[in-house]
Amino acid sequence: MSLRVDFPQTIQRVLAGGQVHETAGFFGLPGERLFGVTHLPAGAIHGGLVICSSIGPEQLTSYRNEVVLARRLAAAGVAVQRFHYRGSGHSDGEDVDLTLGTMVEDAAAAAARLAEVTAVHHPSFLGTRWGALVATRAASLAAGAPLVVWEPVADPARAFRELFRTQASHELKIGTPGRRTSEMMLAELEANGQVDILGYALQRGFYQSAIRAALADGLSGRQRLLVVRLGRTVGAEAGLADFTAAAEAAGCAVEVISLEQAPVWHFVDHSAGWGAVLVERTTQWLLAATAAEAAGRGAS
Amino acid sequence: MIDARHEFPIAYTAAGEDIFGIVTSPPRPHGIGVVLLSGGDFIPSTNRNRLYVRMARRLAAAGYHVLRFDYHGVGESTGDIQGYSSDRPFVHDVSGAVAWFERAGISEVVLVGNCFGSRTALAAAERVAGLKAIVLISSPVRDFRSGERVPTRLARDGGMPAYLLRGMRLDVFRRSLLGRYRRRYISIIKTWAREKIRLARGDGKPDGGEPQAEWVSERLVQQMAGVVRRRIPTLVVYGAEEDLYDEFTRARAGRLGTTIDRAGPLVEVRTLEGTVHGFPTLAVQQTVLDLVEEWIWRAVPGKGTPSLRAGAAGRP
Repeated sequence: MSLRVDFPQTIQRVLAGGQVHETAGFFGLPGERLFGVTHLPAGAIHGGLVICSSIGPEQLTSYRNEVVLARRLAAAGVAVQRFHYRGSGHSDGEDVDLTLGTMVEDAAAAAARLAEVTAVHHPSFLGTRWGALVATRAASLAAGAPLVVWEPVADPARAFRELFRTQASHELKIGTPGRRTSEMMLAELEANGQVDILGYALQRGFYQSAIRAALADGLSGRQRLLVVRLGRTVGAEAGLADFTAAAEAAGCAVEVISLEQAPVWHFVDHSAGWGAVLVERTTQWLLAATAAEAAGRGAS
Repeated sequence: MIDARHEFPIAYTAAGEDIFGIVTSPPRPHGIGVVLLSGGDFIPSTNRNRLYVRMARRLAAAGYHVLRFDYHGVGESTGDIQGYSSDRPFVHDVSGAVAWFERAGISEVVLVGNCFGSRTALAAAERVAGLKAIVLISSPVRDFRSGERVPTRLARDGGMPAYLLRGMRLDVFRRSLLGRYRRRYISIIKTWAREKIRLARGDGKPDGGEPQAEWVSERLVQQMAGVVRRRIPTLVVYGAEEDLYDEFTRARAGRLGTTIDRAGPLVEVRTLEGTVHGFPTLAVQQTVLDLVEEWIWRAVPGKGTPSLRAGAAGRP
């Protein structure tokens, strides 16, 4: 029997008292479709933003903040494109095929989607945690566009070690028999191609693609860059300092803000609205950066 | 293979909020709808590690129409919530999902929920005329707020003598020698003692002035009895190592157990190894996927009916 699909693969919604128009659904080629949401202002569009989420449990932790940020910005005149990487969320694909490279491709596809809908060809980019590695690379496609990173993974090797340690604690908590050390998990990843980290399969493909990635690799220079630190992650300072130094050396105007409120990235966070200040500060920064960007383009 | 080609987004209004969901449409539909309900804690409809995306696509491959949705205040839906309480389930969100199916021509549905979602499914059951089966995964049997610590909950039931007696059982005593269990037992006893001291001092209600939780939720018992009266096949799933299972086991000694026993084979209780709550490992996710698909297929095999009616995507 043949498939009958009677419904469109996107849906339009009007929210926030008519200030925000959203198109949610799937785009891309069959078998490789991305789930995404385009948040549009009801009136004139003053700029655009592509949000690159993190992956694994961090994607869920930050999900609502990214939705709220997108709606706030859209209500203020900035069109926003959000999406799920292939192999994650509602999108097509399997996690075994997800690499840093495919994530950047998907961010580029999301930017193309935004351009198609809004004619914004130089969007800003925002990346959360692992998504920061994606955003810096994708932002190079729109040279000079403002860039925001939320608690970025500046040192992937260290971030992987943290994941292994967190898993070891998790196994202790849930009483897993035959608990594993970080070294055992790494050996399992090498031998089996994947290892269970907090109920997610850390795949060898992603590990190998990201382990040596540097956050500054994709910086195009002369960008406005906002680095948001959440809480005080012990040991993360060195990687971030290297990143901001590289950004400044490349000619970026870097602003770093530290917020007290920090989520528990790898576990369910019971506290509602932990990101209220984060969203507010980011909104204000992006609106100012977008206005400056538009003024700069007008002047040139 | 079922993928996003077989899926489409929907929206419906529930209690004034715009609820977002995704329907997975089966290639060979047999007319039964399945609604997937996530747990609390702001988990969107994908659930951990896309468990509900995978479940939806597997069930669709077996002929079921499957709807997963974000609760109000979560994911892509509108609204704002400050937390979750198992005695305040989001029934309107589920009713809206079922109403969407009805408008699409699907009047027979199965509800699948985990943790807060299972309590929501059970609370919504009486409003679902076409309910054919219900799956309750790691369902809390008492009323409590998300984030409330387990030792606080256990201490508040006031049953310390019974708890100490339980500690004298050989298997429990053996476990108490292990670090994590020993810490938990000590924590429960300490919390219990603190609560008693505070009450003796007249410092108000236990746990910072919140209403004292009943041991087993009366609502839960009544809702379960309602499902049993209607002869609705029910699957109850727990992990043997989770606190929620401890509580369920103790609750079975009372009226909840009587209700379940009265149902006979209609209520199937399955205990899986380890922890199921929150689906913390890949292995348990796979086991749950296999179990739920196999059980639904056995409980509600479906019948030949056409695809969804076009136009159902519209709002009420």
